[in-house]
Amino acid sequence: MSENLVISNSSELRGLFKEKLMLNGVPDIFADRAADVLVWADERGIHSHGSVRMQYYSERSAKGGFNNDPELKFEKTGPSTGIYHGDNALGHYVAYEAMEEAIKLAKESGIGAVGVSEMSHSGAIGYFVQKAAEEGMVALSMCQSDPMVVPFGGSEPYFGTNPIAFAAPRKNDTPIVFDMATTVQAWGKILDARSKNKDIPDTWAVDKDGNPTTDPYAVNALLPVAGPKGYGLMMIVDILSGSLLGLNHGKHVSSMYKDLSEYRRLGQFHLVINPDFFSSREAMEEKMDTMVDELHENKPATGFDQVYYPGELMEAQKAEYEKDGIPIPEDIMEFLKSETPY
Amino acid sequence: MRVSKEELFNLMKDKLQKAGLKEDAAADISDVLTFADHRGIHSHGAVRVEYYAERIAKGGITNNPEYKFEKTGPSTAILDGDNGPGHQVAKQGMERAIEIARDNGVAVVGMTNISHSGALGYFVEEAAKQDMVAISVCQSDPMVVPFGGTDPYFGTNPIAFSAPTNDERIITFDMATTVQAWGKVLDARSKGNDIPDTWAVNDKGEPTTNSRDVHALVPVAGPKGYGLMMMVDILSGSLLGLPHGVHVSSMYKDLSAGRQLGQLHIVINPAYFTDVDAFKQQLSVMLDELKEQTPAPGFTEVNYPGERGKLRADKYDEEGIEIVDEIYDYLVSDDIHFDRYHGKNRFAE
Repeated sequence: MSENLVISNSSELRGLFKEKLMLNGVPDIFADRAADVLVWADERGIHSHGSVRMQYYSERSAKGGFNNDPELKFEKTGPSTGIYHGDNALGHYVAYEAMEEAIKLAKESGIGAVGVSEMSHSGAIGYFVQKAAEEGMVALSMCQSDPMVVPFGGSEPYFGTNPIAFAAPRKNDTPIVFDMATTVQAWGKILDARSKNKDIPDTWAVDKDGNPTTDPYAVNALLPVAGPKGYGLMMIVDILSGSLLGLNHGKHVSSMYKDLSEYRRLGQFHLVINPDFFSSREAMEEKMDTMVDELHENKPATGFDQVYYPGELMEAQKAEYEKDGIPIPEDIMEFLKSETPY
Repeated sequence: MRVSKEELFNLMKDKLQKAGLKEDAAADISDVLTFADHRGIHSHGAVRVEYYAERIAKGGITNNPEYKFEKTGPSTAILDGDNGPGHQVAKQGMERAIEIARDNGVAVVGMTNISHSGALGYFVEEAAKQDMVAISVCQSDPMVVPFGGTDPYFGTNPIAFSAPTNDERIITFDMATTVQAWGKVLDARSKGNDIPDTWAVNDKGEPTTNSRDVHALVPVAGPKGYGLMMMVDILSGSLLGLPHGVHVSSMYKDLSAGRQLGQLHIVINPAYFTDVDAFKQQLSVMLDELKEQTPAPGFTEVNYPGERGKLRADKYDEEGIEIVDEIYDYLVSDDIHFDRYHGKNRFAE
């Protein structure tokens, strides 16, 4: 991958992402949402979930790997529960619509627990919980992904990197948004090391025998974060966003790259909690402000200049990029601006 | 010392009653403590009785609590514990949550103003035994630095989860959001041992191997554990209008005062999302597949969360539960407590 970067900005990227997706058959409103989710990631320095994904999404769309003419349906199953049937449409759009439904349920009934059934990759899931927190809710979201991680004590890939995202509203600022994969490190870091021919730490990944390896080319699977703890967390994610919705579990989850003409059938799970049903939105938001102030006042450890609240660095990066522009790999920008579908 | 499960339960129940609790409360606490010892989670078993007894005797655990249950919506409720024993309140809260989830698909129940509730795995397993999926989280006294900080801010803030299968296996996952439990540091101190440099920090926020120099614990996997413990504190503290982070009460500072702790149960009824039998079957298949894996070097097999506890319980059923002699002697004695915990610095012992 080229190391050369060009500078862009949110609105340019949004336009380019949307156009390219539509060029490959994605309907207008779906492409619009996907573009927003991708820009959200790049704006915050989560480049692994931004422009770098465009070539893959474009190709998948062109080859029929998303449903660009889906029958989307929200099935309400109780006062606080529902299933959003995505019919294998673009995950960014489906997961967003599902989060809107979950927020509605939470506003009315205190809780919105919505399973998203059958969608494609939905991007950086912090985007969805942030939306809920912007409306005064506390939210959790998690999604299964293609098997790349050994279970604790095992040697074969079983679960996906299975991220968990959480958000809480603040009175005087953007919501607190926390988003983590349940692996030690993201797969993108392995690819990055490969492209630079660099060794990786021996805590990230294992070879085909399940031995920790420092050779990025020998990597067969990633390791769960903190051994049995990450393994348990990724299992929770797979159960709630997979088996609970009658979808594939664990190693049966579809591979991202194996067949771009097939639907992914992925699942996601949103849980939205309305603070007004426990204390009050106002009180919560104030407490969050207080908590952040206190964390900022915490004396930094040797080697740190300050304590940040979880997720703060994303907002700090966004502010920087707003001033200096967003760096995008040159070859990706060339692709985006070209007439090439994928 | 080896004791049967029944004997351990009765010894602890008697002691807690002698300390001043009514029988039902003493029984509920004993249930949760026995669960822990039975599964080898000794840090949350009989070792805690002396502290609870002292706290009960000094008024810091309400010995005749008036619990108040308030349903705030179809799927939500708050159970105020009147600073009574957390174990009992959390048990009742989970029973309510299961009922609510049965009829509504999901339940979120907050327990407010409770004392320490013991090993969370107990509560979530109750839900799994009734074909539900459950998560429970609780805040605890500030002992952990934020990532990059030096002053303790959050507690060890555990997360527990349980799900049913269609055989006798129950998935029970229970983790503190620190690298290591405080009990392990105490253990190293008592033996004069060093600790790994990944467990704790000194008062400059620097990793330390000196178990006597520990100022605070560290979050598991740095910023990840930090985010998770914050989430736990928000869900079981701020969301419920309770003290947050550094304001959460200290375990030992004043044993005559209520702890004012919070806990949150989330119960999900699979019947509102899929076919329950198919769901349970799928989880059984998942566990079978994990077990079939070629183990990594140094491992003999892949276990599912909760498996080792179950094996330990089976072993203890045959051989008796291992209890430290000193603790057993205390339990069979007439002593209620020894005034050991009040005013103690949480890091001192």
